[in-house]
Amino acid sequence: MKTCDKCKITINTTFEYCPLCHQSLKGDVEKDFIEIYPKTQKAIREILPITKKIIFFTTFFVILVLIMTNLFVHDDSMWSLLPIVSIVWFWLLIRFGVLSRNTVAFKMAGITVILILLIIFINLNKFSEDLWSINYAMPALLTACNLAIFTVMWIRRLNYREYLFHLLMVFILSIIPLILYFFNIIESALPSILTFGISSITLLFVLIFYPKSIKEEIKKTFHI
Amino acid sequence: MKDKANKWYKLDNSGKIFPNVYSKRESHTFRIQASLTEVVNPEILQVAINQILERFPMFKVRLKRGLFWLYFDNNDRPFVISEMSYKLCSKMDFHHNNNYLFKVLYRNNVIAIEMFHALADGKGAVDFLESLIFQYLKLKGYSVTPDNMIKTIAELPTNEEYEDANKIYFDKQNRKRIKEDKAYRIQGTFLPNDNTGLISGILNTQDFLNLCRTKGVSVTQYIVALAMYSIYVTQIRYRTHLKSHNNPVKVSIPVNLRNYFPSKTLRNFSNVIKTNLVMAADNIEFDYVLNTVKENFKEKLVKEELIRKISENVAYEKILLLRLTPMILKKYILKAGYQFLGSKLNTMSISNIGRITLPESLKPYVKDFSVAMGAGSNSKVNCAIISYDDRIAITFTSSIIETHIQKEFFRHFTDLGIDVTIESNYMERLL
Repeated sequence: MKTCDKCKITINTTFEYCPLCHQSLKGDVEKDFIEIYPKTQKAIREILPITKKIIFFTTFFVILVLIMTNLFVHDDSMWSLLPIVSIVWFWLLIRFGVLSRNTVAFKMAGITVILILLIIFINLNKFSEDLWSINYAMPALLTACNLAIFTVMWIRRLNYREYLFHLLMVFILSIIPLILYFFNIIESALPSILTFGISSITLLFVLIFYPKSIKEEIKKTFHI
Repeated sequence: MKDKANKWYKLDNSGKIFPNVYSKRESHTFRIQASLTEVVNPEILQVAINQILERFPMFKVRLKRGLFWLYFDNNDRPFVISEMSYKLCSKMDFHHNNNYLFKVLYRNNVIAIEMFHALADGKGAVDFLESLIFQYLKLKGYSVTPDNMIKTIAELPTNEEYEDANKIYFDKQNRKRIKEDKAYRIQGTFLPNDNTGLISGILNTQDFLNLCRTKGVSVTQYIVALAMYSIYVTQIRYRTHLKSHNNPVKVSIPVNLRNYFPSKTLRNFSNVIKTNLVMAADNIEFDYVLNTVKENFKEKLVKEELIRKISENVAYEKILLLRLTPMILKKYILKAGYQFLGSKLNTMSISNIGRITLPESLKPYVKDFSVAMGAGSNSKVNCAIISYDDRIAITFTSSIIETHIQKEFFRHFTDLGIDVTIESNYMERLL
C-alpha cells in the first residue's frame, strides 16, 4: 500500500502520484499487483476523418469549378447541374447505401428512391423528349427492389419481420406509376401494371402467410 | 403469450428521454462492478451470461424506432462479453455491441456491467449482476444457493419485472409542474476525448455510520451535504461577486421508488429529489449545509411529493400532440426540452445504490462492489455510493481535469481520523 502524506489516504497503485493532490506517494505496492482500472491510453487519431476531409474538399472543389465554368462560357443552359446532381447522388449512395447501419431492406429501398430521383432529373433535363424514366426506369427499378427485398426475406427467414415495412413502402411507391398512367402523364401501361401486380402479390403472400407478424409489427411501429 | 422472437416493450417513462439525448459527452450510462476473490474466467462468464439472458428477456433487447416512439425489440444476436478497456461509462456504441444496450466487462478479478440508462436503473442492474455472479460461480462448480435473494434461471420471469411502474402511480390530480431556477454549474477544464476520470474512496461502513449517527442524519444526507460543502469551498467561497456563483447548488439524488411504492420492476423506477441552497456567502459552515440538506430531504421524501414528481414526468408523455408527433421530429423536441429544462437545473448527481446483501454461500467469493455514473458536459462531477459487507465505496466520476472537490471531500474524513483507501483510473495520465 502507498500513502499520501498530504491527503492522509492509502492507495494501492503502481503510479507515483496521489490522484487527489498530485503529490508523490510514499511506500510500495505488492510485486504482482494489477491495477483495478486499465491504464489510460492516448486516443489514436482516426484515419477516416482526414480521408473524409480530402474527399469533401475535392467534391466542393469540383462543384465550384463546374459552376464557374458554366457561368464563364455564358451558356444559357445550366448543364453543370447534371454532374453536380450526380455527385450529390454518389454521396447519398455512400451515406445510405454503404455507411448506413440500417437493414439491407432499408438500404435497398433508399438507394432505389434516390436512383429514381436521379434518373427523373436526367430525363427532365431534355436529353430526350420521351418520359422514359417514369415509363420504364421507375417501374423496373421498383420491381427489382421489391424482388430483392423479398429474396432477402426469403433467405433470412428469421428476420422477415424487419423487412415488412420496406416491402410495404415499395408497394406504396409502385402505385405512383399507375396513378401517373391514369392521369395520362405516362403512356406505357404495361410496366406500371406489372410493377403494381408484382408488389401486390409479394405483399399478399406475406399478409396471408405471416398475418400475426404483421399485426405485431403494426402494433410496435404505430404505438403511441 | 407472445412468442420470444416477437417480444417487444415500450420504453418506460424515465427511459424515453435517454436515447434522444445521449451523446459522446452525455453517455447516460452507469457501471456496477464486483470484485471476486479469484481471477475471472471469461469462457465461463460468457456461458453464464448466455444462460442468464434467458431469465432477463427485458435486457435481451435492442432499440428500434417506431413511427411515434422508440421501443425495445427482442434481440436475436449473440451477446459477447468484452475485456474492460480504459474507457469508463463512455457513449455506448450499440452497433458494435450487437445492438445490446449493456456491456459485460471483465478484468483480472472484476466483473462489471455497464448499462445504458434507458434499459434499467441501479436496482435492475444490481439484480442482474447478482444473478450473473451467482450463475458464474455455479458454473465454476462452487456450492452456492440463491436463498430466495437472487433471481436464477430456475425461475421464470414475471410480468411485474417489465412493468412501467411510473404509470401505475400516476395521479392526474397531483401533477403540478414547479418551475425551477438554474443551478450553479461546476467549473473546470474538460478531459480530452470525452474521457471520464474516476476517484473512489473506500471507507469502513461502521465508522461512517457512527459519524452519521453523531450528526443525526442518513448516509446519503451526509454525503450530499459534504459534496455541496466541497463544491462551496473549492468553487464558490470568496467568489460570490460572480453572478453565476449566486445560483443555488442543486444536487440531484435519485430515489429508489420501490422503497416507497411496492413494485418488482427491473426497469427505471426512480425519481430525483433535489437539494437547493444558495451558497453565495463567505462563512458557510458544514453543519449548516447538513441541516439544510436534512430539511430538503424531509420536505421532498413524502408520498404526495413523490407522486407529484412521478405524475409531472408522466404527464409530459401523455400530451396528445407530443404522442402524435412523428419520432423523427419528436427526437428534436425532446432534445431541446432536455437542454432547456433538464440539463441546466443540476449541479451534481449523487446516487446511493444502498447496501448489497448476498446469500451467505456467495460471500466467500465476492470481495467488494463499486458503482460509477457517467459524467458529462452538463453534470461534470457525479458521485455514486454502494456498500457491501464492511466497506462503503464512494465513487466520483468526472469529465474535468480538476480534482479539488474530490480532494476536499475525502480529506474531510481523514481529518476526522477515518481511514480512506483510494482507487482511481488515473485519467490525468493523459495530460
